[in-house]
This record gives sequence, structure tokens and C-alpha cells, in this order.
Amino acid sequence: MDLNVKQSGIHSCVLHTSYFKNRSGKVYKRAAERYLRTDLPCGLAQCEDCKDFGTNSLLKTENPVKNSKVGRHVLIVDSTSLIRFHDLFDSELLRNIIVTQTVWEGVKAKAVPAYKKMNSLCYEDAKDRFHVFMNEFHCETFSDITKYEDVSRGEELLLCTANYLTSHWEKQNVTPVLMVFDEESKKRLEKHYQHVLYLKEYIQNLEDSGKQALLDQMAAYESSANNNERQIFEEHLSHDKIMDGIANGTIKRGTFSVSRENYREASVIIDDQLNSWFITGNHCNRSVNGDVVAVQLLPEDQWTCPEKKIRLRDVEEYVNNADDMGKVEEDDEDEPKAKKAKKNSVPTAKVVGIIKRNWRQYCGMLLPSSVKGARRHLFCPAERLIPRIRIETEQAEILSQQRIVVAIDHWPRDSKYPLGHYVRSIGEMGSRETENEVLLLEHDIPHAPFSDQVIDCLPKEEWEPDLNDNRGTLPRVDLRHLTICSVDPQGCTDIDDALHCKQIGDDLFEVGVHIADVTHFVRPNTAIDDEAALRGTTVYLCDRRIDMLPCLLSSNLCSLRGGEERYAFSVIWTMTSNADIQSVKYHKSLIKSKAALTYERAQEIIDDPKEQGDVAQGLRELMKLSKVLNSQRTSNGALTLASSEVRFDMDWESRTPKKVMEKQHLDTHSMVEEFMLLANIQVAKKILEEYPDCALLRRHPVPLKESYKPLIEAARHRGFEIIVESGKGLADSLNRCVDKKNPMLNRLLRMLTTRCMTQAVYFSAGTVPVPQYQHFGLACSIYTHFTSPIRRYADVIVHRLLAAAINADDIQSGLLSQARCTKVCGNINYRHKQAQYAGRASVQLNVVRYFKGKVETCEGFVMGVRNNGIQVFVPKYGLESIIVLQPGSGTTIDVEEMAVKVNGEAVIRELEPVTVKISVNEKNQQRPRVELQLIKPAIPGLSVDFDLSTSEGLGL
Amino acid sequence: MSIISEHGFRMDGRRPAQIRNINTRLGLNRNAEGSCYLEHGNTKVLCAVYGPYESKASKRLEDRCAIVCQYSTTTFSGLERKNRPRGDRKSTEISRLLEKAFESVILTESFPRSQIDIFCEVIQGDGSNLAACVNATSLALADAGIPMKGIASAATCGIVETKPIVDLTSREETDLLPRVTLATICGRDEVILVELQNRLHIDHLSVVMDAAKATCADVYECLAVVAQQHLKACAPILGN
Repeated sequence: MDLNVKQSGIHSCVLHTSYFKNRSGKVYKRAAERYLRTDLPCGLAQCEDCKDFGTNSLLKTENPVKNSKVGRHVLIVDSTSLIRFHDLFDSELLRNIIVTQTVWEGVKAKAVPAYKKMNSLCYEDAKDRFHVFMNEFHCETFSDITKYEDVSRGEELLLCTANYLTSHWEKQNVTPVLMVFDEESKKRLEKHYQHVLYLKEYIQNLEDSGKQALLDQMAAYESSANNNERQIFEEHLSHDKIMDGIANGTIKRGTFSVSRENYREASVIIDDQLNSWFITGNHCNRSVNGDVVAVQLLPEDQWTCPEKKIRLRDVEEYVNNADDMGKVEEDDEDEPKAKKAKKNSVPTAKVVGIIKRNWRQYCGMLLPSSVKGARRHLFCPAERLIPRIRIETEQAEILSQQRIVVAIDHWPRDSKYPLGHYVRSIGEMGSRETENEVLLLEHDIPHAPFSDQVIDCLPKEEWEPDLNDNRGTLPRVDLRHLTICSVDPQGCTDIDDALHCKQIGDDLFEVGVHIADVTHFVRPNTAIDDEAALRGTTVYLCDRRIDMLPCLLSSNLCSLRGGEERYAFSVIWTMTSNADIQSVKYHKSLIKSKAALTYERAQEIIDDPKEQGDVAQGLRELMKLSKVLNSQRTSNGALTLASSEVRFDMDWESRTPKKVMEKQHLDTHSMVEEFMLLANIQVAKKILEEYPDCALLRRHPVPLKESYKPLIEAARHRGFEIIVESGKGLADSLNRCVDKKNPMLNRLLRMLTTRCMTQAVYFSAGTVPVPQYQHFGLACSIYTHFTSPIRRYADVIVHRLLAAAINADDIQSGLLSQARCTKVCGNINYRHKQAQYAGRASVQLNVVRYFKGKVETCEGFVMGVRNNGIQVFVPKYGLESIIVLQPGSGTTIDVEEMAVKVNGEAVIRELEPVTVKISVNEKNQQRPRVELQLIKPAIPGLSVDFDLSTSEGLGL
Repeated sequence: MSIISEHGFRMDGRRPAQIRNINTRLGLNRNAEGSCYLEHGNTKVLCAVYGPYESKASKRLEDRCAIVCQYSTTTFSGLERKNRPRGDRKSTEISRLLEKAFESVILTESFPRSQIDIFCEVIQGDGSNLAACVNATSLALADAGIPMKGIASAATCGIVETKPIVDLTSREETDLLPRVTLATICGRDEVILVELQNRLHIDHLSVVMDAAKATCADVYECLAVVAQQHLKACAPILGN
């Protein structure tokens, strides 16, 4: 007597038992029910029986696919096709496809990228081409007994589905066709079912001209069949062996990262030990940067050390003059010999298996092939750390002038390069749009226009501020009478902070920081919030800004523009002229900024004694207080660091760089900065006190003493001592490093310091020990980001937390969950880093554009000395390149002494100035690049240079 | 493992707002006044009702009858064998909850100075145990012929990323999922028991309560069918 709700769609219920192991290895048996249903749609638009059950979209379109093998048909795909060829399914030519539940689960378990693609195809982008058939819940297609001996379980379930659909669609005259991966499985299935085709056969028989592009995409797989006896790489261990090895400690798991200076060297950061092992040459064993790999330590006598030699693929090609990239290069490069200098050897390991691939789609271009009309080509990814990829295409002629996207499919043992296939073209090489698109794709920056759902979340255009429009119990305070002003860079449209200062008593000042009240508009669990959380930050490129929030909010309603009433979140202190804080209060407010100033204008107002208005007086008081705050902070040991970043002044009409802006430092910059820091610290304290287990904070880890080694060495050669015991010691010793002959020295050392440090990161309170909450660079015990909610998502969360803490808003669901906070932090840390890299890449791109047809002689500095070249930094353009030493010119490089020697005499040392000529090398039409030539001192053999990505900076 | 899949189904093939199949047998235990064996899918519960009888002096109430309930689980009800099947904190709590709930359903004023004993034993626990006990108890009380305001029905409801799911199995009852067990009389808006496990955001409360109420009504439909069929089967004995 099975009772259930009437018309529940449940046909019957079967029991199935499964066994599973718990953490300690005990085995349990579990019996679970499975309800078989009658209300599952078959997907066919014309099917009368299924039309009430859900969306049926198949064969709806009036232009059915024409295939010479079968008539009106629907395709049922297998999981291997989806895993291997998921990119193919983007094509409109493949229509009317059924993905069965079994296939879905199979793909989900085996391949994450394929699963993501399948999910977006079936439920977002191509809903009308795909249908998911729930075969395992369908009462007709569920089967728990094996009928056929010669096919696998997955194939049998496909047959079940196909047989059911054949009888179900008898009246409609539609044939379900099983589309399988290759001929072999077709042979197996053909015995049991009439209409089986394999993917290639199906595409070949399509009656459509677009099929050639599809065939090209498929081509990568067939090439691996050739029987090359020569195996380059060792075989990977099986999954079980790796797991056993990890369990008994002989194998470690870690993340593979290729060296930026030498593509044949890499290090693996071991997960559970936080140290890294060195890997060189073929021991990398087909790992690609970012893969999670299993590594095994080599015996100690095989340990080596990094070559300290710059090896970039471009360099070697240049030197070898290898022009035939179409063939496998006979690379007789001997493995870097075990160094005689054994004392320097570091733990060296080899990769024995890949646990998780980090493959994605790569942007780049085809390398020119010397053989005309060849099918096999090498693809060069834009990302330098990714190896060349071999692809096959018939369209090389067209593609050679384009930026294209390529995916890696597999990397067989006998191939020097991974094999991949062409996915799509981005556009003409060298055009501004294409290059920007490449940049955004490579840095994984979501840059599509905002969706309609997001736009729907925006308030109406004729929005009016209303003092009583308040969500929490704490009322919004009217601050329109205060003289508030904002100070920002020229041309800034997203103004998110404003300041005021008022004398309220004898030696008593009221100072306020007012931040745009973004969370009033961006409510949690709305489309706009989800989008902002995904984007994480606004990305600034030289010629474009990719907003985190739609324009209406970022440049209008949230922007604290001069003379307009805006909502704000205010932090207001009472302090003495010594910047002793007497009290602090937080509340939401309504403000009217009196003036939106630029840094330059604000400086003028302060300096001009004729200006005696409220604004001027306020600014002067703020300036005085900020100086006090700054000296307090510096005495605590806050670091002043330097970066190599520059900004371009753009010609917005043609979007070309006009000139490089010198980053001028005005007192007003530090004035605003001091108050923002103060507000951030104050808010961090407040939210941590209220929510000690889920407050979103920002920390900057104290660097390890070892990581300072390059800095200490460099300074020692210049005759300075760097103390790294404490932040204060470091700051003081950096201040002492002043060389009258070389005024840039101090900045260069500060740049080196930046490179010794790790990035600051967001984290949720309660996830690391309290002493590690500290922000090393700013020398404060806790810190967060509160002051830029328009362009950073972290600030949005902090606003919500603070609002909840002071009852200015409800506590929204999920806000106080540590797990969620950690998840958000993970994403914004990633986005923040990618945005920084993208910004730098954009500068580099524009440097090339700027130098097109120009030659300039500039001052540069030697940032590093390597075995075969020197690294030169040109501060004016933030350019860092390598000048490679040509062998056999009598010039030697002494890495120990960090000097270049001609005939045994040191000519250049690290951190010394040199003169270089900058020009664009357009020899390679595909890739114009900036070239440095050493002019002074002239050293034989040091003339060729290669562009090196700038190293990582420190985001405060 | 997601509780609601991309396709909108749960792991066992149900839709989010569907209950499991209900199976019952009444009058198994002839020693008791009323008894009921009830299955919600794999959750299997046995309930026996004794009384009303003259209560012990210690439990005696002058104006109404006392309800004494004991909830226990068998040693083999869960995945792992349990050594102390009754008397632990959780069982005691559930016992008290059942007593409170049925005090407001049974017309206790009809039996002053007497006592009704309810024994609930979970034979196999696969989620929503408390709800199954409420349902079994109300059928057992009906079997015993004890006057009530109506047949009580209960359901457990959880919330997964703002979407409610009902009648949870043990695989769905994960640590963090907020769960509400609600019992109503005759599927109407008369709530006799609410229990919340884990933290639930206030915004989600109304969603969960609405889903739970609707499910209680669904369960009631099923229980009413059981009661009617049982009554029909008993008709020859009773004579008309």
C-alpha cells in the first residue's frame, strides 16, 4: 500500500544498496530508495504525451539538421564525446542533442571543464539545442540488471534509452541516433541498436558547408596514433599508486609552477609542508603550470640547483635561428648537468603523476611554419609559462594573422609538446580590440556587458535621495550642512570617498570620512550582488575600465559627486590636534559634497593663502592632522615601498598612448591616504570586535627572513646593511640607503623589497591564528578594506558587516557564515591578483604601441645579473627586459659578485645605472616587441634583449 | 554531492517538494490498545499506545489525563550500531516534544486522573524520524479509539540555497542544513509542534514554514486514507 500525493509522477520505488567507507576506513552499508517517475519529458517538441512535463525544445526549429546517413533524427551522445570534444558542441551545426543523466554524471565525475561547458550549454546558452533526459529516474529506462555481456554499463544504459525513445517516438517518425566517440564503440553497439554513428562520421555526412571547421577541431586526436618508438617522458603512475605513495609519505602532492626565468625549470610547492622542491628538464614530465602533481624526491646525489641562467623560448629560437617550427625539434639539449658546486644543491624531485590538470583555453597565435600547406602547426600561447601546443588545422593561412584560442587535449609520452585543438578566433592580430580581448581572456576577467537581470536590479533613473529610506533601526543622519569635499585623481568618475574636518572646541576637531553607500543599492542575493561578487573588483586597463558595478551606480548614484545629495556611510572621529582619538561613531548619512577636487587643485587651495573658504580651512586642518598620523605610523615601522608601475596619458579619440605620466607625489595624496587607512583600521577593529569569527579582514604576512636574501645581497654590494629582524628595522635601514651619486638607488632597493614580500590577502577572521592578522607593510595589527565599495567587493562585505554591527541594516542570510566569507575571500584574492596582472599587461601592450616608429635613449638600471645576461629596468616606462650575453665575446658574468666583467674587470654591477636605447623590434611581424640595446657602457656581446614580465608587486 | 541537482531532482529521484511513499499497518500489537507500524520510505517506526488507565499517584492530574511518551531507537536503526538505545538526551528531548504535541491533540479533559502511554520505536532511521513518530502516534491513537481534535500529521522541511526541500532522508540531513519539523492537525493551520535544528536565517523562515505546512497537509491526506481504510476493514466487527 504505497501512499503518496495523488499525481505525484511517481511510478514505483526500488531499493538499492551501496557500500561506503568512512574517514577511518570502516565500511558501511547503506540502503537508499530510488523513485522511478512517469512525468519526465522526452524532449521532443511535438510529443503530445510529454508536453505537460516541462520544456521540450528538440526539433522545434524549422531547419532540421540534414545528414546524408539518417533522416529526421535526435542525437544521443556518449560521455567520451562530451569529455573529449566539448568545444565542438558550441557549434550550431550540432543540434537536437540528448544528454542522458548517466552521461551527465559520468562527465561530471571525470572532467570538470567539460562539465562546466555541458552545464552552460544545457541550461544557459543553448537550451534549445540540448535536452537532458533523466534516464535513471524514468520508469521505462531504469535498469539495474545487466542484459548485454559485451558492452559496458554506460553503453547499456544508452541502449536502453535509445530503445525506449524509438518506441516512444514511433508515431512522430523521429529516429534517435546514438552518437559515440569512435568507431570501436560503434562496432560494439551496432550489434544491439540499428542507428549508431561515431562523431566524425556524423560530421562528415552533415550537409552543411560549415563542417570543415568542426573537422579541424577534431583533428588533434588522430595524430597521436603514429607509432613513435622514442618515448620522451616517463610513464605516469596510476592513481592508486599515487594515493598509496601519498599515504606512506614517499610521494607528495603539490602545485607545479614553472620558473619565470627558465622554462626548463620549475618548482613544486608541497601542500602540507609549505616548502618547495626543485624540478628540472624532463623530470617535469608533461606538467603544465598550475597543475596539481604528485612528486617524488630524487636521491640526494642527483640533486641540482637552478642554473641561474635565463632561458626563454623566444631567446633560444632567436639564438638557434630555428625557423622550422613545423617539425619536432631534435632537441639534443643535454640535461642541465648536476652542478659541480654540490654545496648549492637544493632538494630536487621528479613528477611521477598528475593529480589534477589545470588546463584551460589559451589565447595566442600560430608560429609560422616553413612548410607551405602543412597541417600540423605549433601554437604559441600568450602566457609565457605554458608550453607550445601542437594543433592541426587546414586553415593555417587565415589563422596565422589572427589571435586564436586553443585548448589542450592530451600530452602523450612520445610528444615534446602537448596536443590540442583550435577552438575559435578572437580577431585580427595587432588590433586594439583583439589585443585587449586576449588580455582579458588570459587574465580570466569577466568583461561581458551586464545582463538584463543585473540591470533590472538598478533603481529608476529619476532616483531621489530620501532621508527616511532606511533599512535598519539606526536612522540615517542628515549631514548635508557639513563642508564635505572629495579629492581624487583627474578624470575620476567613481568617487567613493569624501572628507570633512571641523573645529568643535579648543584643540578638538571633528573629522569625518564618508564612503559611498553602495550596499544601499546592492542588496544581497540579487543578480547585481552575485555579479559583483563574481567580478570582485573593477579592472583598470590603460584605455578601458571594466566596472564591477553598472555605470549608473559606479559613476552616478554611488559616486559622491560635488553639489549632489548622496547616501554615504560615515566614520566620524573627534580628535585633538595631536591626532589623539577621543571618540568615534559610525552611521549611515546623507551628504552633499561641496566640491569634487583633484589632487592638484586641492594642493593649490591649501598652498594659496588667499583661499579662506570653508573648504580651504577644512583641507588645511586635514593636512595638519594627516602629517601627525603619518609620523605616528612611520614610527611604528610602516614601510614605504616602491613599484615599477607607470601610467599612460591616453588620447581618448584614437585610444592610443600619448605620453607617459610621471607619477607625481603630492602631499594631498598622502593626506587622503592617511584618513583612508585610519578609517579602514577603525572599521576593522569594530567588525572584528562584533564578529570575531567571520569578519572580513586583510592581512599582509611577515616575510620569511630567507626571502630577503636578494635584497640583502644587493645592498651589501652597494655597501649598505639591511636589517630584516623587524618591520621597523627594515624601514629604518631602507631609509639609510641613500647614495648621492645614484639617487635612484633607494627606489630600486624599495622595489627589490617589494619583490621579497608576498601579497596581502583578504581572509575571514577565525581562520588563521590572531597574531597572523597583522598587516606587515602598514605595521598595524588588523586591517580591512572599507573605503572603496564601488570598485572592490571586499568593501561591500565590510559595509554590510559594519551596518549589521551598528544596527543600520538587517543581518542578511549568509553574511555571518565563516565558510561563505572564506569562499568570497578566495575569489576576491584571485580577482584582485588577476586585475593587477591585467593592468600591468595593458601597460606593456601600450609601451609597444607607444614606441612604434620611435627610438628613445633612456636611463636604465641593472636589476639582476644572471649567468647569461642582465635584467635591465627602465623606470620611465616601467619596462623590465633582459639583455642576453652572446657567447664567445670575451665578456663574462660573475654571479657571485653580481657583476659583468670584460677581461676580468668589473664593468657593470647590480643596481648601477646604464644607458639603453629603446625601440620596437618589428622583425617578427606577428609579435612586435620592445627591444633594449645597451649603449653605455658598451660591452661586447651584450646587445640582444628580451622582454620579461614584471615581477609581482605588493597590493596594499 | 548536491542535494538538488542541476536538473531539479533530489538524489532519490523526488522533486524538492515531494514526500516519500508512506506505508502503514494498524493494530499489529494486540496487547496494546492501539498500535501502528509506519514507513516513510526507509524510515520505519513502530508505535504502541496503552490506556487510558488510572494513573499512578505520582503522575495523576485532577482535571485531565497525563500523556507519557517514550521515544527510542533500536540499536540497529542507524548506520552504526548504537549501544545505548534509549534515555540519551536526544531521545528524551524527542519524548518530551511528542508529549507536548499530543497533549494538545488528545481531548485530555475527557479522562481526568488517568494516563495514556505512548511508545515509539524507530526500527530504521532514514531521516525525518520525529515526523514519522508523530504520524505513527496519531494513527495508533486513532486505532485505540482515543478522542482527538483530529489526526495530527508532521513533516520535516529543510532549506537548500533558498529552496525548500521536504521529507528529508538521512543523506540529506547534513550537519549544516537548517531543518524545521512541523506538526499540524488535519492539515489545517493549527500547529502543535515546531522544532528547529541548526541556524536558519530569518528571511527563510516563512519559506520553510509554508513548505512544511503544505507538506503536513499532503501527509494528512495519506493518513486520512489509512484511517478510513482501517475503519472500513473493522466495520464487520463493529457491526455497521
